[in-house]
Amino acid sequence: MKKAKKKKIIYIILAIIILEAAVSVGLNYELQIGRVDGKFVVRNVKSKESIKERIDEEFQSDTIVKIAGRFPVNWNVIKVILAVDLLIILFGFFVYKNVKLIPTKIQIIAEDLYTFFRTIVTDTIGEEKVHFTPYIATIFIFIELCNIIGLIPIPGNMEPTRNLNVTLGLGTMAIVLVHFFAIKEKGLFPYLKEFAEPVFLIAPINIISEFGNLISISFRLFGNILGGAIIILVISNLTRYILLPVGLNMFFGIFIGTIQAFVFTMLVLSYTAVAIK
Amino acid sequence: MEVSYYQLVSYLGAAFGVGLASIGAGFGEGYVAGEACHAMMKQPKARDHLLRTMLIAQALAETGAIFALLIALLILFGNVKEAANNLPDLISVFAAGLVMGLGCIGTGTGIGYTGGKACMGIGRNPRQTNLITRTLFVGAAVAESTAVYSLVIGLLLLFVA
Amino acid sequence: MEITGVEIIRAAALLGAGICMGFGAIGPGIGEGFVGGKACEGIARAPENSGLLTRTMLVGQAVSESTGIYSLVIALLLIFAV
Repeated sequence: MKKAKKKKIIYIILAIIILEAAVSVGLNYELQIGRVDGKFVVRNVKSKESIKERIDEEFQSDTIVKIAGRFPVNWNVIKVILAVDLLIILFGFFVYKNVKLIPTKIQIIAEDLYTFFRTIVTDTIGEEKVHFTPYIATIFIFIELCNIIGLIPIPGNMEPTRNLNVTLGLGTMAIVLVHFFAIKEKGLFPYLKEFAEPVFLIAPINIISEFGNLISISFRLFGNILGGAIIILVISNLTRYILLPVGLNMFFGIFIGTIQAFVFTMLVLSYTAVAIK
Repeated sequence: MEVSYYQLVSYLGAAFGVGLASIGAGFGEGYVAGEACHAMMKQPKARDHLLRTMLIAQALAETGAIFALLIALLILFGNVKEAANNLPDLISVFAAGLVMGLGCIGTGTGIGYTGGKACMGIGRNPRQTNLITRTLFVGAAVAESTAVYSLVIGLLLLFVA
Repeated sequence: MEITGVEIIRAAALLGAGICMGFGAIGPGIGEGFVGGKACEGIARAPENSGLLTRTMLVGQAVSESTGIYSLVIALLLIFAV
């Protein structure tokens, strides 16, 4: 039984390596598999695009599509975000419809996630504010899925968080909600009075530091994911992308992606805790 | 004699980038390992937790240096501004290396300090490993943000300016 | 290669952007790491105060990061506005 499982894992890894090699396109080289002049070849050929053009693509991978002829959206990003949304909704729906006393595997995953975030929320904000759990867990699951969806080797598939607009949007949403919760909890005037603490003169610095929070959480997510993507692109080229890109993808996609998603979530939770206490 | 000024700035930029970045990363990772050894001496039963925390903290402290390596590889092999023949383009290549190198000194040292103290805390109180690791993640990721700003500025200097 | 005065100014702005962000990142990096380290130590000593310690750590780090953000703003200005 165990041996069969090991074999399965090895096959999966081999399939991933072959797929990676086939779709990963380097800076100045790309892999060519096929028949040339009656001979079967697997080799690297000089690609038509230079590294600069490729990395420029990473910076501005925009395909503007107008919805209903009026509202311009970046289809490259929106389609991946919609896929992530669909995954989350399907997961939630499936778990909700199949709740059993003896939990199935997928129910155990969902319950574990909920309990984990419930512990963190009650540790940070307090036992009576447990209703923040769904909000916090949703932020984590969304960013985590956005970060690791780039691992699936389909051409045109990229992490939405690699685009600064997405991370700035997430950060703005989080910070605006933090202030909304603060006003709801304390009332408008005590909330405004806190900006003038400890002296009235210091109010501009307090307001600037709120924008600092927004910039720092957005740029951290964006920079880490973009940096990882460009590192994979550069090193794949140097090693002629055999084997190493898979490990790098795992490191930057899973390890860094999960840590950044967790840190974003924790920071939003802690800003909320600071604001409402 | 035909002089390629691009080679001058690219070699200097790559050397400054990786060289300066290694100061912070090396110091930080060494500090983590030292504190982990100290904690293992005090609390040999927690050595598995300590080894894991040490490796995670070192991976976090090294992220900045990996960014510097990325910028250096781009400068050396990327042919980014090879045809450049005016002063601003040439200087921007050198500045990209410099910003990444200097930007990593602080973050490497800082994350190393955080990781070291986390190892020490686990050695003192192994039951709270999860709590301490969580704090380590958050603290280290916040300390890393300046390295990410440096990376953004470096990439802008190379590709946009 | 001929160098005009405008080019020298532009080159100085770009080099200045690099130096500004580079040196501006040293202090916040070390400082925030110090805060995080002391918070880990504090949690090991008094785990029941972990919520308070984490909050204080984040506020302190946000304040010490503000200089890093000033550097970022100045570097962006030097690249795009000069």
